[in-house]
Formats: sequence, C-alpha cells, structure tokens
Amino acid sequence: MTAQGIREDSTDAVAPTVEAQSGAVVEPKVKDASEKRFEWSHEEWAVDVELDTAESFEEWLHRETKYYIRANAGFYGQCVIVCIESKGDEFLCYVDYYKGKFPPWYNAEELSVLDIDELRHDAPQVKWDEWEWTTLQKNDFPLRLKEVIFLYPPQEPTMEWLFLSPEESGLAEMDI
Amino acid sequence: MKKLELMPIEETVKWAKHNSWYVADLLARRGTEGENPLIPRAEYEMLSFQTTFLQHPWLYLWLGEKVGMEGIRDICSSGHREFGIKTITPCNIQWGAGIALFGRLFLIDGGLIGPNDYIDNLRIIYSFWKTMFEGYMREGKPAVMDVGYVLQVLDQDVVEDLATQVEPLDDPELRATFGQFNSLAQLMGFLDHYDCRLGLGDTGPYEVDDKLILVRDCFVNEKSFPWTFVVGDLPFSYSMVLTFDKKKMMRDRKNGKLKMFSIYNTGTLFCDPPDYEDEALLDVAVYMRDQDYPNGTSTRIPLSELPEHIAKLESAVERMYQYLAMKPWFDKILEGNWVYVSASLPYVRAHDLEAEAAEMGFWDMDLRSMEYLLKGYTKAGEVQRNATAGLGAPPLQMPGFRCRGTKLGRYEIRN
Repeated sequence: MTAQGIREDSTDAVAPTVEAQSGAVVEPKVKDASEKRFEWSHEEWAVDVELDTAESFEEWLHRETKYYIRANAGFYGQCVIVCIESKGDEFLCYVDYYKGKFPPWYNAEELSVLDIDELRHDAPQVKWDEWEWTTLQKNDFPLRLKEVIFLYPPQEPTMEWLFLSPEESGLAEMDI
Repeated sequence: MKKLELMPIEETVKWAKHNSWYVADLLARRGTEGENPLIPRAEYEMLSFQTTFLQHPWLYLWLGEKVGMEGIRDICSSGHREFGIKTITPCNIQWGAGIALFGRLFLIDGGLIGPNDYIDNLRIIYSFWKTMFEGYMREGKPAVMDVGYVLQVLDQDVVEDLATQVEPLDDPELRATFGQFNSLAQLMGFLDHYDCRLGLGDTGPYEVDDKLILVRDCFVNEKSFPWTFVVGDLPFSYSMVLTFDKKKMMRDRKNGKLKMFSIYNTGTLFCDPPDYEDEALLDVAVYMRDQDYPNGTSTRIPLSELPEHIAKLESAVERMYQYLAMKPWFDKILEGNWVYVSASLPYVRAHDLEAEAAEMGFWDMDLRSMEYLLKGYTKAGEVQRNATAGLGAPPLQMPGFRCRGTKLGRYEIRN
C-alpha cells in the first residue's frame, strides 16, 4: 500500500485541481515519462496558475500538493522544485515546506510533547527566510506557476500500524 | 567492463534533498544527547568527513572496477544471512559513504570550497551509496524512513530460526543481569568507535507470529584499530536477539501510550516513551563473534554465562577510559579520523578485498584534508554546528535554477 501518511488527508483523490485567477477550475496535467524534465523525478505536473502572493502559494501547496515525507520530527513537502515565470523571466527554483519545527532542533521537553499523529493535521509553511533549499523569494510574486516537480516517491511503511496514526493504519478499528 | 555507473549531475539534487530529510530527523534526536568531554568530536569529524569526501571516491571507483554494479549491490548479501558482522549494520553501510557528504558540507560551511567544487566526488559517492542500498534492505529502499523506520535486512528464515533460540526473562534477577550486559555491550561498542554509532547497530523489527524481533550488534573490538590491544580479550562483536510482545505494542500504539518505536539510519532504536524497550521485552538470546566477515563464526552464549562477560566488559570499559584520558588531544583527532574512515571497511570486507584496499591506500591520509583541517581547526565547533543546521546537503548550483551563492541559507543553532 502507498502510505497515507504522506498525504495530508485520507481521501482517495489523486487528480490535482487548480482554480485559476479567472475562477475556472484547471486540471494540472501529470506529465508522462517522455515529457518529464528530469527522468529521475518521481512525478511532474504541468500547471498554469497565477499566484499573487506568497500566502496564496502556500494555500495552493496545502490544497494541491499532498505528498509529504512523514518523519518523527515533522512532515516535509516533496514538491521541491517548481518552474515559475516572474517579471519576464522563467526559471526553476527550490521550495522547502514542512509541518513542525524546521530545522527540527527540539529540546528534550519539546520532543516529549511532540505528537506527529496530531501534527499531520496542520497546514504546511514554506521556509521563506535565507535557506538554500528555498530559492523562490517573496518578491517573485506575482508569478505564474508552470511546473511542479516531486522528487521522491511516497513512503511505503513495512508495518503501517507502527508507523502511521491509528486512524490512518486502521489500528483504531481493530480488535487486538 | 565492470565499473561504477554514475548518475547524472542533476540527480544529485534528488539525493541531497533526501539526505537532508533523514539527517534532519536523526539530528533532532541526537541533539538531546550529551557529549563525552574526553573526545574531540567536532575536530575529528571535521577531519574525517573531509578525508572521506576527498579520498574515498577512488575507493568506490576501484570497487566498481573490481566487482561491477552487481557486486556493489551484493556488498550486503552476507548481512542477509549473518549478524554480528558489519555488512548488516546500517550505521556502517549508510555512513561509510554518508559521512563523505558531510565532508562536502563542512568544507562549504568552513568557506574552504564552493558548492560546485568536487562535483565528480559528489556523483561518485551518491552513485555508489544508492547502488549499494539497492541490495541492503529487503525492500531495496535507500533509507529507513522510506519504509516507516523498520529496517529488515536478515532473511525471514534466519529470523524465524533465531526466534526458536531465545530464553525468557521472567526471572527478575536474570532480567537485571541481561539489562546490565545490554548497557555495557552498547557502551563498549560506542567507546571502541570513539563515541560514535559505528560500533552499534539494530536491525528490525522483524515479525514472527505474535512477536516483534530486534537484532542488536555491538562491535566491541574492531581489530583494525591500533587500540585493539586495550580491549584484546573481548570478541569482535556481541549480538543480542530481543523479542517483544507485539499485541501489547499494538494496544499501546492504539491507545496512544506508544508514540514511536523507530529504527533510524544509524541503526539506533528511538522509542517514545524512551524506556519502552524494556516494558515490552519478552525473551533474548546472546551471541559473540570472533572476527568480522568473511572470517569468524558466531557462538551462542547461554544467559547463565553472562556474568563473566559482564566482568570482561566492565574491565575493558575502564581500560578504554584510561586510554582516552591519557591520549593527547590531537592524537585523538587522528584516531577519530581513522574510525570514520573504517566505516567503509565492510564495503571491502564483503568481497574479501581488505588487504588489497590497504595496499591501494585505504589507510593513507589525504593531505588536502589535513590542510583543510589546519585551515578550519579553530572554528571546528562552529562549523559543525552550522553544518548540521544545514541538514547535510546543500544543492549544486545549476543552469536554469535560481541560486543563492555559497554563504546564504545557513542557520544558527540557538541553545
């Protein structure tokens, strides 16, 4: 099974949808292998959406890109590379987004109360400040988002009941 | 022609980011641990990470010539059938190549190289590491995080056989004796490897009926280290097979008492609550092995004989502390360097190439790493803090990508 832990919700929705500025719903296209920019990426989307602000971009990420690496210290977004058009230029840049504390320097007290099962419900944040894995900048907005590149495949937990939340793994409904 | 096939330069971005995810998660746990004042950890890590980054690419290319891609994938095949050897232990398999990536980070953070310097070293290291991991875990994945922090290396029939050899810990006195042995063996493995996890390694949990099983290896006497004479009466490794009550763990996971029971890429078990291992522990078996693969054999130790091994371990730990206390600080930086260099020993031992690798220069110092150490020595602690905050792997700067230069994007650690 593909881990639901990498998805923000437990719905089975796969096809991403984008509401363009006009209000019309646009279906981003999942590129086939011959169209991909990098053959080693997991999945690439062709999208066409105008985003006015950094906040609208974060909302878009939260709504559409539901792949996460579930770690014990947080959730990390897998859409690491985006292609944008901004101010007459087009380029690729990195976007690091996460749920939890990042970098994850928790002290012992913070770790003791950290509940990853609960954290999954939070919205992600982009690491906007000086950070080598976020080269998109707030002053790039407004921009047109053209491509989204997911680097890595979803996790495949060997023991779902041990890794995922009891609700996600089905343990909550199980008689033991 | 046999050779290591290199990935495209751009693909290093994928693995650098992957690296940063699990390194961040590991360091989140390690950051809560103490430090040993006898060990110059920051300085020896600076030297050894640089040594492996600068020097070991030749080793990986040479191994490619000797054994080809399939041979690289087969490096861990002995670890599927045997334990108490270093080809099973994730810390060595992961970090032999992995620490070289930290070397690049230290050099960048020390202002000594830029992110696009030594690009071929980066490609060689990632290509070797990725190929080797294809033959390591049962699932063929490159990190424990990818399969939910479960690290299954041993074949299932081997595990099922081990499950028949365990002894119950119902007697509180026996349980306490085993607890003492478990702590001492781990401490000795840690000390023998200069306070790093290369001397330890858990794999599992494996499932057999209603039990979960961990196999814990403690390398208490690595015989390639010159200080082997200090601990010479110990075997090469002690191993423990630990079984846990699966149904109890499922109930505790369901009711929220057990938040995590995770094996990391260092082969380290982290639990929440931290003392959970003992709560769910049912039975154990203990083994020792005289030499690393491809030599040596494992011998079962009946639990009734643990007290004599505890006495040996207590004495060896005391001697090792004395050795470390007497050793000059700079000498310990050099010795720590060789410990991390030795993380690549399983790669050559797997194909019985240790002696040939030594002739080729496995133990030689790359003078560039010594030069860089001297340039960065006074700020090793600061560089280590900043580099680990950089989470392991800054991306290359490539055409078509927005770049940030070499000095931006670092985080200060606030203690």
